[in-house]
Amino acid sequence: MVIEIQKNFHASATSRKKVNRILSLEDDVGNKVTSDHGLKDVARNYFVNIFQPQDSDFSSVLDVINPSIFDNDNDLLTAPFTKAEFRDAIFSMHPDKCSGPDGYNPGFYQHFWTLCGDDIFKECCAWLTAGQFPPDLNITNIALIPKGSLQVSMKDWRPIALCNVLYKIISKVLANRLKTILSQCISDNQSASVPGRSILDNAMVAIEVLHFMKAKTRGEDRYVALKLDICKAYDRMDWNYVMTVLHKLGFHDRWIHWMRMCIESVDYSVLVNGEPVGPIIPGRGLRQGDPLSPYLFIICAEGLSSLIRDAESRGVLTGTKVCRTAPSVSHLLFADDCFLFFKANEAQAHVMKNILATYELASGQAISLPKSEI
Amino acid sequence: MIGRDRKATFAYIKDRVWQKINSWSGKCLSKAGREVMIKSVLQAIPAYVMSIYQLPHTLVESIEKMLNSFWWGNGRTTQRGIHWMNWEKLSAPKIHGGMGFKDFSAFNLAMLGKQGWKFITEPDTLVARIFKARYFPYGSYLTATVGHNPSYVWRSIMRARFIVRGGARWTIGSGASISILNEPWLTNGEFISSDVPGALSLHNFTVNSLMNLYDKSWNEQVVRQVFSADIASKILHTPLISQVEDDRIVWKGERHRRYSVRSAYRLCVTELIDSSYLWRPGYWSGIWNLKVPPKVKNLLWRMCRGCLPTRVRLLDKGVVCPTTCVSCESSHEDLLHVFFECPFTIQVWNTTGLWGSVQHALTQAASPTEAIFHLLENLSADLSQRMSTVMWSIWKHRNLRVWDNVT
Repeated sequence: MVIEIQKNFHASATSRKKVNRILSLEDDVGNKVTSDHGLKDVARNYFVNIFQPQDSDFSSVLDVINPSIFDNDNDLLTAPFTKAEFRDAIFSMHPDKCSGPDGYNPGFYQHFWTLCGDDIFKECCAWLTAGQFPPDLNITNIALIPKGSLQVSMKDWRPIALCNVLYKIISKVLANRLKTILSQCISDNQSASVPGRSILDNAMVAIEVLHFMKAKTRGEDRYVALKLDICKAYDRMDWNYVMTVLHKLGFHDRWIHWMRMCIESVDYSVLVNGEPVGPIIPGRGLRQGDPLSPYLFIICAEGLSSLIRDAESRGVLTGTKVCRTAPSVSHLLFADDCFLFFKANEAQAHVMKNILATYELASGQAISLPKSEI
Repeated sequence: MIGRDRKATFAYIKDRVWQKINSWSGKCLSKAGREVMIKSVLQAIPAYVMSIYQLPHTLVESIEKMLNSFWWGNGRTTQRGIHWMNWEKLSAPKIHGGMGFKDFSAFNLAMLGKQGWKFITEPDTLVARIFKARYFPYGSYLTATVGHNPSYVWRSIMRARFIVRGGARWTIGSGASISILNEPWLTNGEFISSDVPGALSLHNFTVNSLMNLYDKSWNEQVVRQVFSADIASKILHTPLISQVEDDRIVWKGERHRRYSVRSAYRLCVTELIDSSYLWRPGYWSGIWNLKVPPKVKNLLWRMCRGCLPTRVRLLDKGVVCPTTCVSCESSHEDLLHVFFECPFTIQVWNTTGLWGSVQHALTQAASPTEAIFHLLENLSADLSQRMSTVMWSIWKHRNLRVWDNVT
């Protein structure tokens, strides 16, 4: 019996290893690469390419964003840190989550909290007051996880950033503070990550609107629903755009500097079959795996939301109203998933196209048309 | 988009459950392992869909049937085997003799109720505003009607309204936002239905029109004038607390007074759809609280529910087999005989030093099941564990003898 269980376990472990192993990759021009060295090159080039900053122009997006963070919120955000905050941050992590390049997992910090808690707290506070992280704190490994059943090129691997736990603690503390004021600056159309909103809310609204569109039999106007897919949404986020949006929303300079520290001090290494390849010094992108990223991302998506709202208030775009007194719905967001509603005519389609182009240019995002649906 | 053919739209749920059952992990599980698998994997698959749609009755039934045959089947090859009990009985709570599985349609309604509850308690969210404008511009979720050309979501949520009505209660502050009809503002969450005589004229009135506003008490004269005697006395017995300023709706099932799917489910199965006829009396918690391997508990539970395939029981079910005991070959093999009367078993009880208490329990009880409950109630924790494990070994021994001819 015991032997059988062991055999089963080893069999499943080996098959897992097989699945996760990268055997061959296609490079940009479609050549198949199988050599160890070649694989590393392909992986490195791919990420260097993705994290390359592009020229962006976000003035038109900024014009439509309204400040919504005020002094008392900023006081809350930049208040002196307490040890309890750090403790909460550490103990809210799963102890067995994968560790970063330094090899300590959250379990380690949780177990030895009584011993090293004070030191961690003091050291982190010192870094935050000085506004400078030590250079190797923010080294991050990128692990590649297979997407779908067949992997051909780098696109079929999902990059997950593994940060140092020490960094994650700081970032979590900041994220917890950011969370509390989020509902003020994020519009109702976004339902991801904001405390008190649920994905079901958006689903229900979408169903209701679709039902309305389908059941509508009278009147000239018809409406379109457009589902967008933004490709590599996190990895392509433009840093300057993030910072300017934060600034425009009214966040305190000190807070913005902290955000800058967190996302710009990153050094990546890609793990190809267990071996780190790097360093890759990025010029854009938010990490998937950093506790702050989801919140920063939805703050940035607020740009798109504002653009659409602005067009709606100018009367060039019409959202759907399920009945005369209902609030009009022109878009629904769930993190990077986007559902747009507008009147089905050429003029409005042009307006929508312009909006999307403006947003793409500003934030560095690219909308993948093949994956979008009407 | 949910079209006319709902069965086809939701059929994928059934496929997902079927896939999970047929994966290798499903096939080599013990009875106790299957309990965990059903409770934490299979039952959770439709949860997302169930929180906004009411699943079609046929689908619910076929999923339940599938899970039932997974639970009773022998697992290794096909899902064959005698289904000793239906899902309905299994879904009774553990302390009432069931297995505590979910009654899907009740669970479905409890989850839908949550959406309705959110319309009441969080009226500022985008969904709540849209639904309010579309379906109940002048009333609330509790007073709304299904309306003209409703979407399937709304229809589903409306079906769960009786749960919210059954468990919610207003604490009256100013009374200005509670309409008189159809809102649970009387004591115990009762409401005045729009069927009572004279209700038509009350449609646009709120509770504060029955109150003396200067000292927050009932205006007895008005109340007696408008309502019949029994309703009037109910109203006058509803307390008005002067400290409460805002009208607030509270949930009676939880201590924190907010809706939870768990308490709504409990409310639904115990009070609203009364399923207590499925309960069996007995000291069930005695079995489930034992500190023994889950397989042993499962055996005890099956014994006490009469689901153990002794030869007499098999004959009842129409299986053609001899009814004599496998070890002594002299008497009919029923529960009493296998566990308490067969000479071999008595010898086992004697060696383990439990025969005295077992004999005592048998004289006290009318059936072997009662004897087990009696033993569990009276023996110390240590001895109960020994007793239950011994019973498990006896059954194991009997099975080895029947199937592998081991003596």
